[in-house]
Formats: sequence, C-alpha cells, structure tokens
Amino acid sequence: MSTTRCRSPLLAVALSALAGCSGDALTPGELAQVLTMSPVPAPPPSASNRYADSPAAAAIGKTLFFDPGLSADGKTACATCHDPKRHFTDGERVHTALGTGNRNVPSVETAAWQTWFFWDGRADSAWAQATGPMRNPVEMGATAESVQARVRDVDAVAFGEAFGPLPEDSNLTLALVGKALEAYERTLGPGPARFDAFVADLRATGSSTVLTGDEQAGLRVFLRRGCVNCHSGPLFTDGSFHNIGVPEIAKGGMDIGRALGATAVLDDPYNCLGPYSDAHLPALIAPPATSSGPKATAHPCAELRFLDPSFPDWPLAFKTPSLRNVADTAPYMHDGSIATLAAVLAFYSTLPGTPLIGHRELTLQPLSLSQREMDDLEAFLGTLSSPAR
Amino acid sequence: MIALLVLVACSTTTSSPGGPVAIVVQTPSGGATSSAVPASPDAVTTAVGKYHLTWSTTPATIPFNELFSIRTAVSDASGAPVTNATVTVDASMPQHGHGMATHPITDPGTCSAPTDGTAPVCVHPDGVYVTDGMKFHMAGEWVIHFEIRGPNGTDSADVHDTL
Repeated sequence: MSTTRCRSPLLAVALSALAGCSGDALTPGELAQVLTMSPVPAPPPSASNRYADSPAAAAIGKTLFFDPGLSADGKTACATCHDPKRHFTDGERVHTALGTGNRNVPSVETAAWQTWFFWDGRADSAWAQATGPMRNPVEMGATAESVQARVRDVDAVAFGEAFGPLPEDSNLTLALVGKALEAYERTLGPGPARFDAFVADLRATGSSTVLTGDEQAGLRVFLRRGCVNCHSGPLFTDGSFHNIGVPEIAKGGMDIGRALGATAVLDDPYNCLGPYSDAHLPALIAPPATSSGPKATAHPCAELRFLDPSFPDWPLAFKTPSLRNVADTAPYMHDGSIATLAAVLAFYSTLPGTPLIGHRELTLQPLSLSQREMDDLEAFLGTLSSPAR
Repeated sequence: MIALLVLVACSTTTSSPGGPVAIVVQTPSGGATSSAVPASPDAVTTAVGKYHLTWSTTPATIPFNELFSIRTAVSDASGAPVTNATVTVDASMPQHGHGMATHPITDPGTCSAPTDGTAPVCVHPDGVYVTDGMKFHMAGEWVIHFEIRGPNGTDSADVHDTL
C-alpha cells in the first residue's frame, strides 16, 4: 500500500517563488528563506573534543597554528597555506608546501560549523582534520613523534595549562594538538558581512537599502535559479557532497573525492568513534548556546555511525564549499581549476562536458544565465565578504 | 525538482538598476499554497495486509539534510502489537534512482541471552521499533520503505513523502 504526503516548507518556498518571481520583490517564501541565511549562529558543540571551547586550548592552538617548527622543514606552518590575510586560504590553484598536492586549500574560518572535513570528508571533526596536513608528506611532513617533541621543547607550559602533563603516547599528543587547533579555529568565524546587515534590516523592518539594486537582483537570481539548493543556510553550504562535473585535471590518477573519503573517515583512528575521541566525556567548558533545537538522535557520533560508504553517487563528489568570503578566496573548485568567480558562474551557466565516471548531480541543469544575471550574481556574492584578519 | 520548477518559471527575471533601493516583500497573487501538514503519527497497512503500521518521525517534520528517526508501532490484523518482528526502514528517490547516503539502524529491542547457545530473543514492548539514521539529503520525492518480518511472515509498505 502506498500513501502520499507533503509536509516540507521547501515546497512552499518553491511554490511561492513560482507565484511571484517575475518582479523585483522577494515573495514571502523567498523572504523566509533569506532569513535562514543570516546571521551565522554560534558554533554547534564539538562532540568529540571536550576542549573545543577551552580558552587555554585555543591559546596554545593559536600558537601552534602559526608555528613552522611543527613541520619537517621547519618552514611550514598551518598558516602558510591557511593565511589569515586571505581568509585562511593561499590564493593558489593547489597547495604547495613540502610538495605539491592536488586540491585547493579550503578556508578554516567556517570549520566550527562543518560536519565533514577536507574536500572529500575524510575527517569528521576539525581536530581530526588538523592531524592530517601535519602528517602529510607533501604538506608539513611531520610525525606524531616529531609533533610531540616540538610541543615538549617549545610549548610544554602552555600545553600543560590546557591539557595537563604531556602524554607518553605521541598519538594522543597529536590528537590533543589537533584539539587545540580546533579550539583556535572555533574562535574565527567568517565575520559579519554586508549581507548580514541587509538581513538584519529585513528581519527588523521588512525592508533594507544596505544592498544595491544589482546585489538584490543577484540575490533573487541566487534563490530562483537554484544556487541556494546546495549553498543553503547561514554558511551557504548544505555540508554535503555532490558531483558537479568539474572538468578533471588528471594528475597522478583520477581524484574520486567522497568515494574514498567516506571509507577513509570510517577507518580514521581519530574519528568520533575512535580511541582519541571525547564523545563519551562531558565538555571541559560548556559550548555556547546555539539556536538549533534538540537533535533527533542522542548519539554524539551519529553522522559517522550512520554514514553509508557505498552510496552510489559518492564517486567524483566533493563537499559543497561555504560561500562566505567567496569573492576573496579565488581560485575555485576542489582542484582550484577555475580562476575567477565570473568563470565559475559561466561554468554553471553551460555545464560543459560530462563526468568521467558516475553522473552529474541530477538537480543541476545548465542555468543559461544572461550576462546581466551573472553580473548581478557576482555582485551579490560580493556581499558575503567580511574583513580579513 | 524545485530547482527545475523555479528555473522554468523565472527565466524572465529582470534586474533593477544599480544604487540603493528599498526591498519590498510581495504578497502572492494566488495559486501559492502552503504544503499540507498531515496529522502525525501516520498509519498504513502493509501491502498484503499482514501488518498495520503507525509511524511518526523525530523531529515531527522531516528535516532537510539532517538526521531524523522513525518510530514504528507494528500491530497485526487483529490490532494486537507485534513485539518480535524485525523491522527495517529505508528510503529512496525513485526519480533519481538512489537511496539515502546513510545506513539506518533499527534498535534491537530488549534481548535475552540464552545460556543454551541458541540465538538471543529480542522483544519490542508494545510493538514499537525505533529506526535511527534516516536523512533526506535532497529535495524532491522520497519513498520510505518499511519491511516487517514477523510471526505472520514478511510484508512491506511504501510511503511517498515530498521534501
């Protein structure tokens, strides 16, 4: 027996858009959607890091973030690629440190709000992520032992204030260094943008002149042409993984993205279910109150626990990036293959080529944008920028 | 689907000139209706009538791209609770040819541990089964598939849900 039900507000939004999308005004449905896109809420709790909101952990984390002494060559810090002046990116197509990688450097400003880390989601917390580049031979080239030695020699006092005595187990020390880095990253955030002031006006009075006419037109294009389907919410990302069919730049084999990441995260000893996780412990410092309601599941590692690594659409899928500060963080896509925002919009307008394996996200169709629409969209995306540090 | 609908309907979108302008919220001119919210829990009888299911979700409205759980109360044709069935719940998008990116798990119930080496016997008081780890990661039509393996045999039910 089969029954049909329909109870999602998303459909109502689409219907409202249909009813009123020919003009320059936001429909009530669109307005409701815009209100979900700002402000950026307080970070949700970090389930596996009990030190996530500890000021002492954030303090040593900041020191470590800028410490090139953690790397094998003594010259490469986290901040080498995650440059605060560039919203914690490096402006390069792909990262180059001890070697050259095959992915574009993502910002860490929005780390506190993410569920999966790296373009392929092979880590399930910011602290687990942080342990990766430190040990990657083409990034910082360190080992758990070398990281422990560095902390012992240089940062033992500050480390002790956050975590107590340095552990014997260097893998545990590496995990704690990752947790310190996460605590620091949680203090960052993307910063308030003009779009946030615009939405605050809308919320308070129903109108706003903060954005120009072109920028508001770009917002309407963003809503009505479906950009918002994946770039949703205050971080402008659904946090999920999609195959959008970015033309493959072959370099040492095909990068199949989430298909490997979903398996890797389940095998990662630093994941939420692993021996270095604090998921079974209470937080040292209570996290800030969030606007989100009670979760459907009480399991602190639910996302990992229920992950299906064999989902057929994982090959060539990569994480939807946040669009906060997108205008200031070129180049774009997981491989940095598109140099400008205008070229990204041109890509979505025509969607050239087909993926080498799998298929492009079915909801993604060529947008056939006019030049005016692309200009307006680019203007709107610029309103998501905030000052760099 | 939503993207396509909006795409078709908005192809003549015009832009206003540059410079600061006041934004005005437009009232729909008819035709746009809010989606129906049926009473929860919902009820369905399995395909060949072996079981009757009463089910609800937590949160009560299925969220977009977030984990949710389904509570299924199973009874037989006479209305008596079925406490010793195996219940699996899954979901798929028929128009996209794929299911969820999660692997839901139904609670095992209260299980005994026999000392004679036989398999544990699990009981779900009141015939209630909770399946955790559901997630609808895309907007569009979903089909929730219930499969009940119990004393009356195996039967299933599909429920369509548009997100």
